[in-house]
Amino acid sequence: MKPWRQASTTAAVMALLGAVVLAVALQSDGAATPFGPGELDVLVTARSMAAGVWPPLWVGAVHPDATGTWLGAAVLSPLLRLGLPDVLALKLAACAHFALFVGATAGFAARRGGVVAGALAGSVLALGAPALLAAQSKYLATTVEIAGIEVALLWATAELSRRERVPGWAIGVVGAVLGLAIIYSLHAAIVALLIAGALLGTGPRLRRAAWLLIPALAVMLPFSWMRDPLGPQRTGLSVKTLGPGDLLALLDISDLGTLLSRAPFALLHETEHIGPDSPLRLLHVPLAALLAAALLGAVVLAVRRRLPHPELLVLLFAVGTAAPLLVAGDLLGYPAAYRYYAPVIAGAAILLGVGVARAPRRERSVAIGIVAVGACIAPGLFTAPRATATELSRPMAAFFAGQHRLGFAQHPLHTQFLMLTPFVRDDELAGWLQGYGVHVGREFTRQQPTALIELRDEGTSPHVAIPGPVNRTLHKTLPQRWIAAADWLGEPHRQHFLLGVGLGAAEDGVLDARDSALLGALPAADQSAFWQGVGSALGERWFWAGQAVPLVYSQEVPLSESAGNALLGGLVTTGGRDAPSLDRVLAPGLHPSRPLHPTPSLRLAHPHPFTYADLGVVGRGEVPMGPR
Amino acid sequence: MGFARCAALLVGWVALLAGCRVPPERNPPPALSAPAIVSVVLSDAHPLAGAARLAVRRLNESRAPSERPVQLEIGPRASAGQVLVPVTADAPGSFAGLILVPRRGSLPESHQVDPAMPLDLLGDDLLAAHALGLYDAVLLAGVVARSGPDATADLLVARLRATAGRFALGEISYAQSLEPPLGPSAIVRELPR
Repeated sequence: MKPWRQASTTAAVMALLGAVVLAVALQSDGAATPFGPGELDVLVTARSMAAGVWPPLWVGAVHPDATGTWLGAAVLSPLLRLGLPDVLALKLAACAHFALFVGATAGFAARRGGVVAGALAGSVLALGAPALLAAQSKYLATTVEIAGIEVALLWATAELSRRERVPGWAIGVVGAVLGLAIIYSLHAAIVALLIAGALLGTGPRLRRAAWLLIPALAVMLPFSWMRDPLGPQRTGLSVKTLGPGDLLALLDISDLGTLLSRAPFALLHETEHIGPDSPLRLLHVPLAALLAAALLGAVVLAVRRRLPHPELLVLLFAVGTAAPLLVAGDLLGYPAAYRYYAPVIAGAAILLGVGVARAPRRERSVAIGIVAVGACIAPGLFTAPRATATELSRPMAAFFAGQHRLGFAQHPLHTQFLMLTPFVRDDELAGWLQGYGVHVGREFTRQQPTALIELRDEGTSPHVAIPGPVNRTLHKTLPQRWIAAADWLGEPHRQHFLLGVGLGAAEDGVLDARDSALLGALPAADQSAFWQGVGSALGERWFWAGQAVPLVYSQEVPLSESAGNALLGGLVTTGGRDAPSLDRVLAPGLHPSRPLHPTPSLRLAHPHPFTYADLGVVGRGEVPMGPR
Repeated sequence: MGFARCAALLVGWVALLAGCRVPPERNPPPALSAPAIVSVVLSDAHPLAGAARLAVRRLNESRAPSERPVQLEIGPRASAGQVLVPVTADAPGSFAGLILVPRRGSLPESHQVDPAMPLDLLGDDLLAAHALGLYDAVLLAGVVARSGPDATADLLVARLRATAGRFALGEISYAQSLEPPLGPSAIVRELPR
């Protein structure tokens, strides 16, 4: 069999293995909780696109820096348009990305070291690294999804740079895919540097540079120009709000220490499924050590100038893509940062596979190497009681998606929420509204002071001002504009939103003057849902912190009977059977005069709505930052 | 084209039609449905068009969830049901709706200028008053028109009477009269549609 065909076959078989492994893991982990946090955000945008409504980049992307989520939704939308159930479409996209990742890695390794190298490299990713399986089990359109494309691009570059005459169109295709990859995730800029170095190092440089750059820029520029006219402004061609200088400023020597100390467990899905002190975690260390040894060995060979050019390219890729981990640990924290390990592990797996396959040509040593690597791979999938990171049911996922609808000070209130709500399913709507309510409950307290300062700065001259009825900054200071977000949906949907507002307002255990202003903007008859949210927040704080802290409330008047009943209802809903008594969470002066009966009238979309919040931090100004 | 390709195209086309064509489970909110149109009788190249565009930008930046977007039409023609904001007193009258005629004259002491107003419109007192008058007229027309889906003349007048606030030329209220001392005067014309 020709080497090229051999590599393709290996790639295809390993890609299929990866897809099957992920599909089995997803199925066995429970179809009732198919979503990971953040997945429904992509899905809602994809539904909008499938309906022919292409939202602007700043509405469809979950964050101004996450342009990949808009592209990921665009990839998903044809599947929805074809009539596939949304969960199936999501998971098909996730499996396809994982298959590409495993297949490209195995194919590249097979091309360099034969079938054994390809099989070993592919097995490391598909079977040996639950962390990768967990990261790929969610279709979030981030660095994880781009990793497969990066490896495929690297392979294509290695193939092209072997040839003396490279057709311009082939470089152009690489350039276009590269441009799109950079828009998807800035992480791909590292690969861009390597590809440029590999392709422009030989041959007619000017011609090749033109073939590479023009398609790349042609793909990138429209996205760079599709800026949010009111949102954070970016500089130059950047698609990110944080420039390289901002990112580098985050670095210090402790990041390197964290990276190295975390590396032995990088293959493991370190979530709540395996405790940080579980001995099972140690079973993953040998394979991690082998991968690190492969990287180290390649470095030694590179220094001695004995490493072939394609392997040097892989080595630089693995080491280069490790660099963003230094920042990822700061920005995301662990275990979220583990997803950035994907390209590093892929590069190391290629080097390991090729190294074993090209060991001194004595069959026994190669066989020993294969068995050793295989033995290290084996614990991967089977030591993780749960390999995926999809723990949310549909209402729970909608709750988190609702919280993700970021609004910036420059935007009119509720814009993204309004544009995307029509694409939320009926069975998601309550969760979506509760989530958006949490967002509003948090954000009013944060944004109103800023809006007040901006409003003061706007009026620097007695004759300069935007008229009040059309002044968006003024509107941001008005609680009634915030609290009216869901009025257009009518009842009972509005009540779910108000429940969320109460949750968000009392998330930190404090109802200050601003929160009270939100409450005061509601008619008395509508305040029960808000108070149920407040009670749920108190019960949730009890659930996580294990101690009852009395609500700090700026008003010193007793609650009405209906408000007290609703608060108590919320408290027992999240606090459970052991929920503290009302005396422990409500100051005596706030007690209603009559006995209370808990009346939780609305059902929470998530039994523990602060699951992804930092509840360990107490105090205004350090309140939980929402889902991660 | 071979039979297989034709069949594949046909199957693909049918699948697309049968698929998830319209996922939304509910209608878009009023804020995203048909825009309220504000027509300004003015040539597109007229310097005052900048004031009208700025006013519409402010309207759209500030709309509430229950309000409609506002679309500006600049030109000599207006169709039935639209809110018309003529710049000149001799505007064509082939419409049904509300006309807001900007005040002319000197700037009142209580005026306030939008910081984004084109500077060339603020050259002298009379020109500035005219520009701010048009700006106010478009704002008021937009505020009235965006607040509901209907645009009958009676409804528009009722909403106008309930509208009060501080605009560019000062405090404007139509509660007492459709010709307030500072703001644009309002005219209602009902003609067969």
